[in-house]
Amino acid sequence: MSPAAARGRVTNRIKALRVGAGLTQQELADRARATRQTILAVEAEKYAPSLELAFRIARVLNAPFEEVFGYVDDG
Amino acid sequence: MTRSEQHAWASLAANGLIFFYFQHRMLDGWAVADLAPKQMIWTYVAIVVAVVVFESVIAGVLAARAARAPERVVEDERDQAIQAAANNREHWFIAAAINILVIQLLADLAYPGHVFPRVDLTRPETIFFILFATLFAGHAVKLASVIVAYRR
Repeated sequence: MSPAAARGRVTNRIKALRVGAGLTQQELADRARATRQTILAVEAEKYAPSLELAFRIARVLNAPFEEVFGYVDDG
Repeated sequence: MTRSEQHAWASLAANGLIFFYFQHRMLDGWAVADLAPKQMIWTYVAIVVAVVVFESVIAGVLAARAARAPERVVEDERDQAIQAAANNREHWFIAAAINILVIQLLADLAYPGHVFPRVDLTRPETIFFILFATLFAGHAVKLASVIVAYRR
C-alpha cells in the first residue's frame, strides 16, 4: 500500500481521565475553551482536535499528551 | 445544540419561507409567469428585506441567549471546520448550476434541435427566477451540510 493510501485515526482516553478528575464535559469544555459538543465529539472519536486544542485538553486533565491521545494505524 | 447548529436550523426555516414567497410571486404552475418589471423589482426588494430582517432577528436571538452565559465558548474550531466544509459544498453547487445554465444557453444557440430540457433564458423573468432559485438552493445546501455534519 502506498503511504498516501494509509489510514489512521486519533484515539483518546479523555472520558476516563475526565471522570477521574471529577469534571463534567461542560467544565472540561469551558476550561479548554471549546464547546461541550466538541468535547463530546472528541471523546467519541468522531472529531480529531487540532494540536492546539489537544494540548489544552491534556493540560486541563493534568496528564501528559501521550497519555491522553494516541494514534492507531488502521491501514 | 451549538449556536452554529441553531443558526443553521433557523436560517434553513427562514430560507424555506422566503423561497416559498418568491416562487409564489414568480411561478404560475411549473412555468415562470409573465411579470411587469416593476413587479419583479418589488419582489426583489421584498426578498432582500426579508432576508436581512430574518437573519438579523436570528443573530440577535442567538446572541442574547449566548449573553446569558458569557463564560461559555459559543463557537470553536470544529464549528469553523464544519462551516468551511459547508461553504465549499455551496460553492461547488452554485458552480455546477451556473455551468448547467451556460451549457443550456450554448446548446440552445448552437443546436436548436437538441433533446435536453429547455429553459428560455431570453426572458428576464426566467433569468431572475433561475439565478435567485440557484442562490436559495445553494444556501439550502450549505445549511443542510452544516446540520448533517453536526448529526453525524
